[in-house]
Amino acid sequence: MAVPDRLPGFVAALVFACILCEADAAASDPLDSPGWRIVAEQVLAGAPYRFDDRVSVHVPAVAEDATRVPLHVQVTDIPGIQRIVVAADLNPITRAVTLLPEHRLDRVSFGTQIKVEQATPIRAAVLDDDGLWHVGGAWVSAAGGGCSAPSLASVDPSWSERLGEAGGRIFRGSKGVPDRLKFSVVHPMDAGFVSGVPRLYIQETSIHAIPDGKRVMRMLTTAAVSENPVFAFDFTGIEGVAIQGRDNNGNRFALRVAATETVP
Amino acid sequence: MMALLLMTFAAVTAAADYEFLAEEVAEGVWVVPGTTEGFSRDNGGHMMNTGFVVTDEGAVIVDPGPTLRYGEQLRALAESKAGGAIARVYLTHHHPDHALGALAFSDVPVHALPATIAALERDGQKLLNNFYRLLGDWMRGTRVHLPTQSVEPGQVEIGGRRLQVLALSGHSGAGADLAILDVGSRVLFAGDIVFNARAPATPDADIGRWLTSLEAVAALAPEQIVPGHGPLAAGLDALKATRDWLDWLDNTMRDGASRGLSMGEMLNAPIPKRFASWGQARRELQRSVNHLYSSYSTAALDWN
Repeated sequence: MAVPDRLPGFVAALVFACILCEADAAASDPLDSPGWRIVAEQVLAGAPYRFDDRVSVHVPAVAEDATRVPLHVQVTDIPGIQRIVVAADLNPITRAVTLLPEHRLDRVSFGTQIKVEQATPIRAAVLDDDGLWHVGGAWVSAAGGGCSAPSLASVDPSWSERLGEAGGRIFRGSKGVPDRLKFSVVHPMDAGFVSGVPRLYIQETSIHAIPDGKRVMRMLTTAAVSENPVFAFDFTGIEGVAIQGRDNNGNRFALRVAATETVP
Repeated sequence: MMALLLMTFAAVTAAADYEFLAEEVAEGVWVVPGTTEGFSRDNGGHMMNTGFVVTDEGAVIVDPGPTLRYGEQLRALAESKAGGAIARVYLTHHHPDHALGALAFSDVPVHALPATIAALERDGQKLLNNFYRLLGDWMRGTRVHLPTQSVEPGQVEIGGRRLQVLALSGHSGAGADLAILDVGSRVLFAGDIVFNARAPATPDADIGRWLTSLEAVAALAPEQIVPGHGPLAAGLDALKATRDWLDWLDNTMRDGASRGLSMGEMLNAPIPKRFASWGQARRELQRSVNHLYSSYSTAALDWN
């Protein structure tokens, strides 16, 4: 019976560890969220983090439509960014987007729309070269139900005809302003929480530079991203991109976007 | 402690009354002005204007308001001015702040455009549930009461008073915005086709249609306009203010889309100084971005 003898000490150590992590999280989360620990443990995989003003998340104070909450992440002056994650603490699908750039960045400008199931903080976390997450975020208030609502496509019999249609453009920045890539894909992004509507969502998207074909970034998405998703990123020094993606059922989409005119 | 309880009780009791400050803007034409705020548990949803016209057959109500309680208090006020009778009720559109009080008039004809009736049949329960969430106890007893009469545009005579009914579009859907001109006084109840000193709300809006409707209203040359929200105004001032906002909103979204801005970036679009004092300006801009920006953004992309 050696294990039971040792168990109390083991439990005590666990409790002590949890008091420490609880106290740390409670003291430091500027959004005072009951869900922060879920993000820290599951999305950031327990890695070290700090709340950082250089990471900002723009969301409306109140979600007008819980199936489509706009967000824009702005990160400035953090050297060696190798990963960007967007998550909502109190969503049933916590992580919405992971961006994996092929080159280390020191700034990020990224926008999309996600679903929220209830009022929740929306976080952006960026992982630097030292393995430290820098976290920013903002609360969005919501009537809720965004994740458990069926997509509009799921009640439209013709949705599959347009599945995977994609549109995009590179908007040339004026002097000192980076170029902007924006693209959108026709996709239901169903979460599978509605009876009779299976989970169907874009999982992975790759962006390659034209003409050299080198991969610039990968993006991993979940069904927390809104139907017919739209993604906007700042880029510099790219003539065009080839975008390829696939959903969890193996459906693929592809899109080529060439830079066009300079915006005045 | 007791004093605190009493104060709380007094506050709750006071909150049960909408405390109307009705104004007779022309002979027999009454307006019940709301605030320029958003819906809240402080104002019980009284942030729109309602009103009534006194005729020999009783009062003609223009919008019964957001709750059963509001409808009942409006009815009592109108009856006191119109010899105890209500001739009929018009709904300007299906939005809950204007329409949900109709239950207080379940024994009189409630008139609305066919598209308004269809919208209430489709969305009424959802709008009702949302208002319970927003307004709490103010909503007690409120249910969706569907209009009983489908109205067509044109002139009608009620109890010696001539009214002109207009079927407009753009705020609430195609053919889903009603406005009423009291022909004698040329006071126009514009519904939510006109906002004044309060940012227009756009959950069902089509800006192009809305601007066309504003032209139709201007052509009537009303002497006073009762906007759906915000203070009554002489002549076309309120109408011009609404057009100014809608033009700005349209241009702002088109410009943002042409620069590839995300919806999240549009939330922070600068609001011109001339709108800075308007109620709900930032909030309605953010709502409008959610309602309308996708179509501008989609149109600015090249599709395969």
